[in-house]
Parts: sequence; C-alpha cells; structure tokens
Amino acid sequence: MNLRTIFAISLFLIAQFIFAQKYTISGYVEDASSGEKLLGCNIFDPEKLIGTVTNNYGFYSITLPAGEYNMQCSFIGYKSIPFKIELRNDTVINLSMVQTNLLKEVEISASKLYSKVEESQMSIERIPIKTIKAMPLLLGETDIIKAIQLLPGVQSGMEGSSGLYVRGGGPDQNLILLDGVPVYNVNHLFGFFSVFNPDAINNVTLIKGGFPARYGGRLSAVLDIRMKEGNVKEFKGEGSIGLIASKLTLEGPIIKDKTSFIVSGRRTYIDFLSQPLIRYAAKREGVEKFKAGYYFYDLTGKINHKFSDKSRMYLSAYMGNDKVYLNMTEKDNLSIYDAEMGLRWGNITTALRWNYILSNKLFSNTTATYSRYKFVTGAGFGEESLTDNSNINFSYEYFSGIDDWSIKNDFDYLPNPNHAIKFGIADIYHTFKPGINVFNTSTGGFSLDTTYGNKNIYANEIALYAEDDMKIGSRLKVNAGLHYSGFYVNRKYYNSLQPRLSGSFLLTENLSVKAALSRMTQYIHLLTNTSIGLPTDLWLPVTDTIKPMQSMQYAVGMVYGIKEDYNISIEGFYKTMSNLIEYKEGASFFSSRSDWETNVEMGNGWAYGAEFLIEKKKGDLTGWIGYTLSWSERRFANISFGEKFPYRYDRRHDVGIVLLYKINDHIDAGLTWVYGTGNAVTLALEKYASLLSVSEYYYEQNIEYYEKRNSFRMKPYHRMDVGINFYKKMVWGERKLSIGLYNAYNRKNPFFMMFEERNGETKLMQYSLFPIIPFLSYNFSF
Amino acid sequence: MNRSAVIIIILLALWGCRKEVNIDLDDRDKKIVLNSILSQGDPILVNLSLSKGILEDDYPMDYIENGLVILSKNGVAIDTLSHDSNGNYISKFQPETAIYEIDVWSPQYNKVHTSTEIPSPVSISSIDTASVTGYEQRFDFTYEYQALECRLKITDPPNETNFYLLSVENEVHDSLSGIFKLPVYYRSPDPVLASDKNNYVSLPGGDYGALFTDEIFNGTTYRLVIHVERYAFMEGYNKMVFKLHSLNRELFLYLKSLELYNQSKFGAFSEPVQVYSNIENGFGIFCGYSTSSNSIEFDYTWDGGMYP
Repeated sequence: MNLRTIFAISLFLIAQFIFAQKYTISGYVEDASSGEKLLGCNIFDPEKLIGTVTNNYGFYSITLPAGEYNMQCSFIGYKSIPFKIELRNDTVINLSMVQTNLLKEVEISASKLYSKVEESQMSIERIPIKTIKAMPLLLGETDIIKAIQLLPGVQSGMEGSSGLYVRGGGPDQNLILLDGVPVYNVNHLFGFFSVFNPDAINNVTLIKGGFPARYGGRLSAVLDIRMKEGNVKEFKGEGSIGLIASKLTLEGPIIKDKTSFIVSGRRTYIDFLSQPLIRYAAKREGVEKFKAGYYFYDLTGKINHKFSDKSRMYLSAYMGNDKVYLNMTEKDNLSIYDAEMGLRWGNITTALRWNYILSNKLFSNTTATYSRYKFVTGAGFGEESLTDNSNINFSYEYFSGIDDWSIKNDFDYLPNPNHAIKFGIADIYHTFKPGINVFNTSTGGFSLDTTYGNKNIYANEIALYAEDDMKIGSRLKVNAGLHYSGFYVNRKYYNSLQPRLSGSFLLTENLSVKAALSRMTQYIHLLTNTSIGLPTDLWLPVTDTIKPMQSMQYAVGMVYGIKEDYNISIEGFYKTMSNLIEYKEGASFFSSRSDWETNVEMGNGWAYGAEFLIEKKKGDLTGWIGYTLSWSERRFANISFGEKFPYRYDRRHDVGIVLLYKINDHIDAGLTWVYGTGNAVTLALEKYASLLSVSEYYYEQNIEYYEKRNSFRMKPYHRMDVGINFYKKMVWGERKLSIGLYNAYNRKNPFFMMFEERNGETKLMQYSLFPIIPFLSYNFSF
Repeated sequence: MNRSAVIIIILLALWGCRKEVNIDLDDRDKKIVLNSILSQGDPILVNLSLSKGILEDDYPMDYIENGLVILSKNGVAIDTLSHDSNGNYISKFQPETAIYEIDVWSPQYNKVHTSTEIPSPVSISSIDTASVTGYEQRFDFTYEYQALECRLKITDPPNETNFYLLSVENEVHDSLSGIFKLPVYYRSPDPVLASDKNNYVSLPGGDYGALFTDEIFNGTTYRLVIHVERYAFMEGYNKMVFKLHSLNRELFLYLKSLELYNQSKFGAFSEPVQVYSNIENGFGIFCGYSTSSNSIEFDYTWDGGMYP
C-alpha cells in the first residue's frame, strides 16, 4: 500500500467521521397547563420518517446525524407542536403541549408514523382517561377496569365484576401496576368496583401478549396504570357527587414549576343513607341496638419534586379499604346479649421514585416500593347475666395477606433512532401471611386465649431484563428481549429465562403484519374458587410441590389504518399454560388453609382464538367495536378423571361496543353494549342410584351426575348502557352532569344458579343481579 | 355463622334487586343404572334401575324388573341372571380371580356394557407390635396418644398399580352376647396413609378403613405402620383382625370420588365432585375386590389411666 492510498483512505475516514457526527435531542414533554408529563408522546420528523416516543416518565431522546430537521411533537388530545432544529450539538428541548378544547379530548392526533400500524409491539391497548370518563357508568362510578373489559381478548367474569380474564387466563395472572407497584386486590364492594380512582390517573396501558422484557411475574396480562403527578402551575380541583359515592381531587404547586402535589379521595355513603332504615327495622324486631353497614374508601396522593432538569423525585401512595360491620345488642329480663362481626380488607401501596438523566442518551429510574394487602374478619359474642352478673364472652379473628418490599433500577438507553434499549434489575421481598386465627373465650372460671394458624412465608424474587426496540430498514421493527427471574423460598430456588420477541413489518404505508412470542413465569398463586371478588382470596408462593406457573404465547396479527381516523386490527393467539392450580374436587374454599397444598391440583391449560377490533379515534363519533372468538380449556389429572374441561370463563363469543358521540360543544352521549357466551358452570342434570343401594348396610342414595367440570352453559350475557353528559362553564370552573341507564333494556343476566324447592317441586333458578339502574352523577372541576 | 354465609347474606342484602327466572332443562333420555360389586365368596348380585332427571323426586327408585342380564367370565358368557326383587339380579356363580363382563338389555333403553376384574388377594404375612406414644399435629398443638403400634408386612405384586383398603376390627368374645366385631379406627404416621386424611371410607359390607395405593412401595415388601389407640381395646381378651382388601381400580376410584362427593355435597363453596362410573351408555359401577386377613390376640389390663 503506497502513501497515496493511505492518505486517500484516511481522508475518506475523516470525512465519514465529520459527516456522520451525531448529536442528541432530549428533554421532557409536558402538559402546558398542569406540567403533567405526557407518556407515549411522539417526537418525529414526518419528512425523514425518523422519530421517538416519550417513556413512562415523559422523557425522550433521539440521536441524529448533524443537520436540519423539521420535528413535530404530537399526542392524543393535544395540539401538535412543530419545531425546526439545526442540529450541531447535543440539545435539550423541553416541550409544553396545549390541550385541544375539552370536548375534543377524546380525539387522537398522532401521526401515522407512530400509530398502531407501525409500532413493534402488538396486543397492546391504551384507553385515554378522558374516554373512560365519557363512558356510561354503573351507579355513577367511572371505572377503569370496566372500560378495559370492553376490549377484545378481555372478559369480565361475573355480572358487575371487576375481574379481568385476559386471553383465557385467570385474574391472578394479571400484573396490575399502580405507578409501578403491584396491587394484589383490585376490588371494592366484592368486585363491583375497582380500586382505581380515575381522577388521579394519568395513563392506562393494557398488554395482552408479546410482553416486553421489562415486565414479568405474571402469565396473562400487564395493566400499567400511571398516576398523575400534580399540577406544578396552579391549584386545581375536581370531584363528583354520585348515587353511592363522592370523590374529590386537589392538585397544585407547592413550589411553582418545581414541586407539586395531588391528593384524591373517594368514599361511599351507603352506610350513612341506610342507617335510619336499618335502625327502624331492628326496632320493629325488638332489637335494642343495631348497627350494620358497608363502605369503602380510597385515598391517593403524590408529591413530585424537580431538583434540576436532570433529577426528579416522586413519592406516591395509595390506601384503600372496604369494611362490612354489624353490631347488635339485645336485652331481656335475664341477660344482655352483644354480638358483632366484621370484614375488612384493603391495599396500601407506596412508591418512591427517582428519575435521573445520566446522559442525554441514558435515562435512569430508581424505585423503592411497598405493597400490602390485608384481610381481616372477626366475630364476637357476649352475654351478661342480670341475675348473677356472670359473663360469657367469645371472639374470633382471622388475618391474612401479603406484604412486598421492592427496589428496582430501570434504564432507557437511546443510542440512535434505530435502537431504544431498556434494561434493569429488580428485587422483591415477599411476606406471605396465609392466615392467623385468634380465638378468645371466657365463661365462668374458664378462659382461653389462643393464636394458631400458618406461619408467615418469606420469599425473595429477583428479575433482570434487557430489551431493544429496533428499526431494521424502513419497514421492519422488532422488539427483542430477555427476562430472567428467580424465586427463593423455603431454601429452594426456582429460576427461569424468558425470551420475548415481537415485531411488525410494514406491507404498505397503512398496513402492517405483526407477530410475537413470549414466555412468562409466575411464582405466586392465588388460592380461590369463586369469582365474585371475595376478599378472602389468598396469595401463596410456590413450594416444593407447587411449581411455578409458566406460559408460552404466540400471536400473529395485522393492523390497517384508514387515514388517521380508523384502525382495524385482527390478531390470533395461542397460549399454553402449565402448573396451574385448581381446588381438588370436593375441596372447599373454606376448609383449613393449613394444608392448602393437599387441597389443590396442578394441571395445564391452553387458550386460543382471534380478536377483531375497529377503532375510530377522530371526529364527532369515536369509539370501538371489538369481537373475540376464543377457547380456553384445562386438564388436571385428578379433575374430571383427567379429561379436558372448559375453563369457567371460556367464552366462545365476546363483543364489546363503545360509541361516544359529540352532539355539540356542551353535550356528548355514550353507548356501550356487551355480549358474551354464557359462563361455564358445573351443574348436575341427572341423578342415579349409588352402589350402596345394593347393600343392606346402607340407605339408598342418589348420586347427582356432573358430566364434567364446567360442562353446563349459563344463558348468554348481554347488556346495553347509555349515558349523556352535559358540560357547562361556570364562574368557578366547569361542571359535568351525567345521566344514563345501566342495563338499559333490563336484561336479566345470570349471576348464579341453584336448585330450589318451590311448592313441593324442585326447580333450577337463575339469579340476576342488576336490573335497569338509572344513574346520575354531578362532576365539577376548577 | 361461617364466613361464606355472612358474605352471601351481605351480598344479597346489598343487592336486593335480584330476579329469579325459571329455566327449562332439556329432556334427558333415561339411562340404565347398573351397580354391582364382586368379592370372592359372595354371590354375584347386580342391581338395575333407571336414572332420573335432576328435577324428579328421588323416591321411589325406578327399578328395572324386565332386564336381560348376561354375565361373561374371561370372554365367555356363563350365566343369565334371574330377577329377585327391587331390581336385584342374582347369579348362581360365585366370583373368582378373573375378568367379568355384564351386558344388559331392557326394552326402550340403550344396552349397557361393563367389565371388571377381581384382583388377587395380597396377604399380611406378619404383624409386629409395640407400645408407643404417638403424636398428631392439630392446628397449633400436638395431640399425644398412647397406642399399640402394628407393623403389617405386605408383599406388593410387582409391575402393576395396586389399590388397597385396610380395615381393622376387634373380635370381642363376650360370655353373654357371644362373639361380636367392633370396627376399630386407627391413626397412622406412615407416609403411605398420612398423606391423605380424607381417605377413610366404608366398603358396601361394612368394613371401614383407609384407602391407599402402592405408589411408594410398588413391587416390594413393605411394613405398613398403624396406631391403634388404647380405647379400642376391651378389658381382658382381645382379637384384633386386620383385613387387607385388594381393590380393583374401578372400586378405588368409585369409593374415593363417592366419599368426596358426600363430603362436598352440602358445601356451598365446595367444588362439585364427579363420581366415577364405568358403565358404557349408562351410569353406576361394576367393580370387585378380594380380601386377606391376619390377626393378633392379647389380653389387655386397664392401667387406671384416663383411657382404658
């Protein structure tokens, strides 16, 4: 190689270096009026077709070759911000977006570039909070979970329930995160309402398959709910007065543009309203004192402080409780009797989070969390003799629950527009409390005070992950990752390496095909045999004999975008699940928990089906139509003699329709309609003589014949809800009056069935829960 | 009031707007119900009746009195059973260790077929005893008891799954009443029996005991340990008879599922239990067992403690 050649090559390399010099644009995107960070906001150049999306904390970063760019920032319900940049060095640009007028907030203004058609992720749904708030309500209470139940691939379980059954999985297989903290029981009022107060929520994302590697620990779904941060600009409030509950949310700056707070509370008042009636009824029955009722409340709070442009800290907390109580006193000439009973259950979650921008390409988020679910029930009885002053007292209490402490560190590394790398590590310390009984009695000279039950079980769960959202060429996008998890309990260590892969290929500008596979492992089980959201459900870890649940899900799909108005998507999925648990035949939910392992069976399950969704996101009429055709089955060696049987929430057809129509600037109307194949239940339809009938030692006995578990179908479920919202500007702010009907055509949907004796005849009766129920809700904001 | 009842009452009280709707069940064709258990030494008895719709009254039973019942042994028809009363059909043969089949025809109903095999008896070759203090964990305390520990030597046939029921009875010799047999309840620290405490069932003949399989000791000689508490003994002469019933798979599954069915029948929150049946085109059970026994004899003198 001669000197001239070396010189030529050197010159070429230097030129490459100079011309390929890259710089980074980074910053936060926030709401101009509140300072609230905007998650999933698009920052892109529509001409060069390059761009990025803000992460869960509103941060974005994009590294591009030096040059001139016409960028645009767009987000659902906000006016797009075009900005021109001459990129010659690393630049920080924080963007403040202005909302379109309130009645247009359900519209979307995202560009086609980062629409559902293009993103690598599949099986993901995002419902704007404003859409959820515009939908018709059960008893006037906006409910995030009930809105999600209307999406394809998601079933609700029983009438009115807040359960989520995603792609054939159970409610215990959903990772429900509130600001990154797992929430174990999301039910208020036995499942009729969820614990999330929408006024304090900023963003809701549901992932049904193709899970990114950053999520783990559950088999079937991730519901990632992010709380608002609090208005850093000015003091604001909103609230509502409904038929059964009222709520109030206040937010504002503590130090303007630096520190903000949000606090939100909700409480029901059925107990206050019903108390006079209950007392009146008790008096008529001759009961001296009688007090009974039910209420739930929840409180949500968050403080957000900005130390610098690079460093922010958030402290968020949630506390919610349900309580059922009954106290009564009776008196006669001989004695005074006291009796009381109660049930109380609730969650506490807390998260302390620190965001730090290590460099303009590397974002870190360190989180410490605490989550607790506790269930307490108790009863007591006392009798005092008026003749000899003797006493008899008896009391019983039962406690169970789960406590989690966790710490995790997540990083977002954005080296160039073709790669968005996430990696992190997490550790969760679980304390399972499988049930402590406290029994106390005293009578005459005898007294007993004893505590017995299961010892706490301590376990440690770790997770490591790395994923890269890659753009390969102009048409292919892939999200590839690995999630490793380990679980240490009772001197045994389980671990699992879970590959995750999803991708999309752009066939045309508006049409993409997608595919995904994901392996998931779950180390905790929910011991339950009912679906009405009983708070007694018990979370328990894997043991020597009860192995971790595992699933493998494959999905393929297609998304077609029509202009910017419509998205049409179709997805097919196939999911296998192993090491699922079910109660053994004959085992009772209320039997002793001390030997719970011997009361359950392990088996396998599989679910497959297709989901179809049409969404309309712009214009006066918005909403979606979703349809799911699916099968979900189980096989356990010792249930139904090893034959496969349908899962209780195997639902062949499931339809969800949501239509929201803006009539004018002051009125909009909503309609939802749901249809689902009837739930599968175990019901005997025939009976026959037992073998004991041939023995002289035994009485004749008939055996009821169950074809197999869940072989009987209840009648289909369908229901229409309608509502209308009236908006009005007031001197002090704005009010919204919502009226409507739940179950508008009064469908008697099956809740449960049982055989009963009526006029000497045995009949199968179907009980329905909610008839047509009008609702009225007054909402205000200032 | 248990928790389930409390929750249900609260739920229904809160949501009194429930409605009741009658549901018409499909008419189901009646099926032949065949019940028969074979044991060596006892006559073969087959009971035939008709199934009922779930909404029909339990009684009276609909016995089949005009059925044609053919009994085959090892593939050869050997007998046509004759009707006695109440749907009972009797054979002139006594069962042996063999494969038996039954075919039943009855006008208007589908023919049913079933088969079963009587297993060979497995003997208790020896019994060793010792006086021991036993312990059983109950909630947060340990129950302590004085017992006679009995080690029963069993040689399990290899290369097959065997099913057993062990019953114990005290053969009491009374000068006034003569000889009578008292069933004896036993405990067991043995892993073969301790793993499932819900396995105590009765055979249709009165013998009561624990069901177990040879899962742990398949094809080996095993010493099964049981504890008989002292209150099972009588002052003076005692003869404890240990009966090892070798069940076939059908009988084992039937007894186990029937016991669970009975336990769960009235539990509102229990998972329903499907009782095992091996009748093609019908319901019921055709099964068999054989029995071997061994005994120990001793004199017992009460030492004046809390228990005899």
